[in-house]
Amino acid sequence: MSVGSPSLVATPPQELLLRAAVMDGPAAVAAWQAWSRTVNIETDLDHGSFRLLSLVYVNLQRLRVDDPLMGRLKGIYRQAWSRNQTLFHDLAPVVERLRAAGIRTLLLKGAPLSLLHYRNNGARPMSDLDLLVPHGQARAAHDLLVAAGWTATPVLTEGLLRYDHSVPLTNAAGRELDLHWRLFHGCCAAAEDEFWEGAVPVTMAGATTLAPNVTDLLFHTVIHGMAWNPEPPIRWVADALALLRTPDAAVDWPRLLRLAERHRVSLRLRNGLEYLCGRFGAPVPPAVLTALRRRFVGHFERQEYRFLQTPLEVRKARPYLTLAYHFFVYRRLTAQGQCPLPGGFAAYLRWVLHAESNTELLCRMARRGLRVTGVRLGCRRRLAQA
Amino acid sequence: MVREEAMAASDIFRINTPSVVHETIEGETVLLNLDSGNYYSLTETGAVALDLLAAGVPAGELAAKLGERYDGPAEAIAQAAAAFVAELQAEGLVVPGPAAGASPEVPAAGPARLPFAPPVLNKYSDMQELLLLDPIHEVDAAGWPASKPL
Repeated sequence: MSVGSPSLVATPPQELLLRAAVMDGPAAVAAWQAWSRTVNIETDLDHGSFRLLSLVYVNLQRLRVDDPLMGRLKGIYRQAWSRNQTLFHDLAPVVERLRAAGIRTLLLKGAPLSLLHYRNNGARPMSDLDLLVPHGQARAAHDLLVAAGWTATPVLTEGLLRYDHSVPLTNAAGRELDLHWRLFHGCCAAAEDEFWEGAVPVTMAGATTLAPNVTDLLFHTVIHGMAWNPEPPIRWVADALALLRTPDAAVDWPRLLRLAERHRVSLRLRNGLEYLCGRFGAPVPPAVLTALRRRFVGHFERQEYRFLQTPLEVRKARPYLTLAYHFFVYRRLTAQGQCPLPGGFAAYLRWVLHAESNTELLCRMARRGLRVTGVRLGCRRRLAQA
Repeated sequence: MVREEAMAASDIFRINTPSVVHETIEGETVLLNLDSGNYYSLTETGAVALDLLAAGVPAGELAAKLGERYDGPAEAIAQAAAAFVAELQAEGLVVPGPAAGASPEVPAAGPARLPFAPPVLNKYSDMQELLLLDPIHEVDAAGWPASKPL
């Protein structure tokens, strides 16, 4: 499946809005005018586009655009600014509490983007804080947060800790915190040390913690963005461009290539960077794209990419693709022999399918396979009859 | 009035960070008191007066600085400036003392003096309720935080 799949790229109106948010001069103004002619802000706005409006406001205001909708955009920006400030203020004590307990923390996604790269607390709306802790300290961090009144949903089981990458927590005030112990789903702990070693300091509402350096954050943004998401997948484009344009933080391209290879996500990175270059003129050196195009991509990495582009409801009807995806995730989790998992792949699959035993696992897989085969045969028969 | 008299001419104030965060957007200064959950908005004279205070202009000199920028009776400007500083202080938005880091530069006066209008501190409480407002459908063309009139 190419990067042109509708599940990954912006629709034409979304692309116009992205251009209004990230381009310069007449290109941004023309895109805004075309977007506002096409989309009724009251009735046609999807959530992904709504979350981009703060950045659109910042860009249009910089370009001194005079438009009847600027008042509304300014209001959206002010709300995002207030929400983000409140979030930082309320969650800074959590970071301090973890630090006091000797637990290292590293901010992921929106917070480091806002604080270090957009350098504007209203341009990038956030609904929660993503906090990475070392895998070995995840249980302690979770327990400490629970003791402070936070609730994890789902409950943090040993399986979740062993195979997954994060758990969302909420508190009585409605604050949301995503506690990560892996950078992304299936990321091998052995390859994650590099992120901690390359991290940079950041201060959030007075609390000092760490953030990925610009290269690692770009890597994470693109990898995370190049997957199907029920929410229109457009914000990652603006985030990646903000990272590429941060004046005093140059991307370490050899490091980026090395990360893609170590984490076996070269295909995702290549397609993401090609999309950014092709549609938004992102300043990526041609040699980087050439190196990624020349890189060998194995069967299971391609299957994982296909799986991640497939909408959730369609995945259920693709048992081989699903199995191949989980096999690849499992292989990445155990890469370099650094992270042997008890019970092997069967135990991992039992956790994925909530099966109590290998027999139950086989029964479930057989049932699922038969169901899909039956559906497909039924469809073919109906088509033949028609 | 007693409070105003008690205020020494050399009083210097700073924005009450980190409890208070602020930003100026198109001439409008918005402030958020994160401890109380109140949101404030300042326009025109108020935004200028806050900028002057944040730049280290003593409260006792604020009226004179405003007088350089606005045209109006000196006594009215002095009274409005003192009341404004007292209100900022009462809301916990400024506290006595110089800023920890380097203060921003004192904003230069423009070439033309505008008619003086007393600074107005617009206050919006119930931040949690405000934050839940849908700024597309529940607010008017002025945008958040003003909700649509019923």
